[in-house]
Amino acid sequence: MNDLKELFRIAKLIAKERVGEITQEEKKEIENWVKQNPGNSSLYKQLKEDDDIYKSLNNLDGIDTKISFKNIWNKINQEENVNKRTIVLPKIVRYAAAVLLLIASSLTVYFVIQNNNNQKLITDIEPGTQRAILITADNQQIELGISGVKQLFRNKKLCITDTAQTLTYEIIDSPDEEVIELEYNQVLVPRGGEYSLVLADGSKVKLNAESHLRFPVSFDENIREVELEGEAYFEVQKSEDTPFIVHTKDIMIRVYGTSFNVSAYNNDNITHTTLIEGSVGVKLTSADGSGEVLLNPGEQANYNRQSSSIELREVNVELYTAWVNGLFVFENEPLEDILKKLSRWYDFEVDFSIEDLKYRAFTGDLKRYNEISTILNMISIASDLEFAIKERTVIVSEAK
Amino acid sequence: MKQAIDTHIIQKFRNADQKAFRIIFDTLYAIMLSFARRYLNDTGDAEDMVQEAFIGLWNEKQKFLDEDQLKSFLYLTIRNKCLNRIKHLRIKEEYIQRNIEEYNKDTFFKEEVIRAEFLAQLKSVIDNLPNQRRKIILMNMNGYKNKEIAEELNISINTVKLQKKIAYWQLRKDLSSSLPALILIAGFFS
Repeated sequence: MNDLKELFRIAKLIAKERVGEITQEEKKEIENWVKQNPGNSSLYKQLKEDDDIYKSLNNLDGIDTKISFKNIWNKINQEENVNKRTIVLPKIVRYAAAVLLLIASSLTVYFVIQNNNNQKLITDIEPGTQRAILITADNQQIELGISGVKQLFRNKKLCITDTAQTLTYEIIDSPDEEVIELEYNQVLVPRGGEYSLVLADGSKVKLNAESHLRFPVSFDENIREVELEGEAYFEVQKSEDTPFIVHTKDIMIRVYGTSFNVSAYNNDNITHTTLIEGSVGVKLTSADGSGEVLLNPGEQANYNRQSSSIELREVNVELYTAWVNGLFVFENEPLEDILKKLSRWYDFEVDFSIEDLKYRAFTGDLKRYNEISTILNMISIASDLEFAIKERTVIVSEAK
Repeated sequence: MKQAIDTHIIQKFRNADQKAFRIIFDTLYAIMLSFARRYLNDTGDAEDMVQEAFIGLWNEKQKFLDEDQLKSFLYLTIRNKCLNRIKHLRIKEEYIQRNIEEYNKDTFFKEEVIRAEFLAQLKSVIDNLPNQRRKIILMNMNGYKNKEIAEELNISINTVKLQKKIAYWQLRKDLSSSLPALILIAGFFS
């Protein structure tokens, strides 16, 4: 049996090489195996150069397992029936069990999501919507996201407009040399909300659920500074003379004109800064002059509160910016983290009936604008887990 | 969404859990079928051999501690069943030109296991990529040029290049897979 493990290893490495995900050491392993005999060498060449691989992969997808599984399960049952005597429950016990179930399920109003989809929907949780609150410099609170286009403020220099999903700050060019005072506004996005802004310099910001941005109504000539708590996707207008700085609790990000995503939730241990295009530098808020980490596109800087250090790595940026396009994308992510992110957008609490279930990992993409039951269904179907929704709590357990 | 065959699943399988067995079956059936077909060209025959092998897997469920052991059992069992079948066919119908000696060889078996696993691993790695990157990689592997990929997926050529560049950086890295990428302790020098 051990011989096969080596074969599995080689096959895996050749596959990794084919998608460009291989290290130098692993490459050497392949080379050593290729040298062993001409058969290996020729097989390697075939696998490396096969351009019909697309077809082979598609063929794999086309195979339906439903009927085949039914076949073998029937055969297995037939064999087992020959071996065992079936035990029949006396009638009274069977009916009693059915009645108990009925009483139990009518006591609390909830529904259970299992993979056989027999239950009817009683309650569900709706996804988030475009909503937020604007807090002005003089502490006025204005609700955003109510339908229509509203002009919230206008004077000679500044115009603030709210469409149903974007708050826009526009500087009006006037002949007056009058300088606009440096006033700060705040936009608060609650759990179950998301909102977009266009700042006075034309920079675009999209805020995710449970996030908070503090920013000047119009920008200073020398520096553009904003404060973020939570998660936001930025598209910053380039300006060589006026750097753009994002302050979060633990780190500050200096922007050289570009698109990037920042996730800095207070209840997370790690702050992620992901660069899509352009260039940014990240350093600790507490640091002075030195210690700035510069990112290249496709890289992510992670500040870990526990280690107080900034770590740089390459990532699939789509994982960290999918939310901007209405998707959740997970790659081998533990259920605990998945539900944490979902809970901000849907606004629910999570209850794991078994601690272990937190660490089940999943991969996939999901649309953000479906009800939570659709998403939980998909997870349930792909696993042996069961979800129940009670008021605004999602309960995770194992299917019996 | 896909769940991997982890220790939970294996444990439940050993305890005769049907759902766990189904997950194992769904994950491995297609690749085992393609492996069996390398021995038996007739699809009907190949399906039978593979299904018998899975029934055998179920009957011996107590034996398996990890996914590699499951796969090894399946490859070996399917090979044996296929060889028996070939012998059976050869005796029945003389005009079938099967050179059974070739199929008997250990090297043939090893090569076919690698071929099957390669495809399975490739599928797994690609399936785990985010949507857009997966499409780019598949098209690239299929010989499409950057420009064609960009047009087909309605994205900029820069995005295509960037995604490929990320893959290329991985290739060039001299770090072994156990070392994390650059760790900088900011503020240390201040």
